[in-house]
Amino acid sequence: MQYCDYIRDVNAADSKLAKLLGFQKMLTSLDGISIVASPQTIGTHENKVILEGNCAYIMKHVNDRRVVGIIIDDFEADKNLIEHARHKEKALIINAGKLTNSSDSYRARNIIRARELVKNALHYKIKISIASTARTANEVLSAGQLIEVAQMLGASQVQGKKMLTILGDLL
Amino acid sequence: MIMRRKSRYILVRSTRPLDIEVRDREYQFLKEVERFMGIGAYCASHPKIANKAGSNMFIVKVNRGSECSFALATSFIKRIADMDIGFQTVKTSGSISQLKRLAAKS
Repeated sequence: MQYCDYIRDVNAADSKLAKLLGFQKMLTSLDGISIVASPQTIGTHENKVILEGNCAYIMKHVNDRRVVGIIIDDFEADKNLIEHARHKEKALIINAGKLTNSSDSYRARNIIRARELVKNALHYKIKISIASTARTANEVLSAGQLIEVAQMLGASQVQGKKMLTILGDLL
Repeated sequence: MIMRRKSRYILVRSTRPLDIEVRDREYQFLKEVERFMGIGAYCASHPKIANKAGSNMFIVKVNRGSECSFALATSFIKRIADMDIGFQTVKTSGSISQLKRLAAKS
């Protein structure tokens, strides 16, 4: 199985490190996929784009053909967004870095919301993926750890392994 | 007759050099693991630093069956004492020698 992760910090991505941590590749903005976070607009991006923001922001821009995935801030999604994502075949990406780096007071809240989001996504059969989206080298996670985080959020082991392969398919 | 305890060894990589052989560092790392695993799971797992395998890699011994919860707990550890640091679990194995070979290769 070809596991991929997405890293925001271009310097932290390394093919040797990727292989050590169990990934085929660590994707960055240099690989043709970049994250566009709220309140920026997609503008004249030539690459494929992953939207990051709240539901209102994502609903506004999700119809763009360059959008291949969505990251929901604070893991709060409504039913309209989930059905829209399923209809447009956009991948829902769980931000594992935000879960593991949260401060004590927000961690439990984020995990509970992420569990609800994963449950709904699996029920409605949306393409769902998980990535560390590390901003620094300290936030990088291995493939095994990402699968464990996916299982913590309610996916089975088979589903967790499949979630790691989705990012590679987006390219 | 004492039954043999079955264990697993996990190769853990830190994002910066960590002198894990120093007793204080080992204690702080295991304290953080206990914080995220919970006292029950920690006691069932009984993690212990088995060996150092490089400047930023070390091998942890845990009871068989608890390697998954240990890997999950280490993904939440971002700070030890005054240091910002991250940990990644590289590989799990039944023997130390295989992990030492992997650490030497990398």
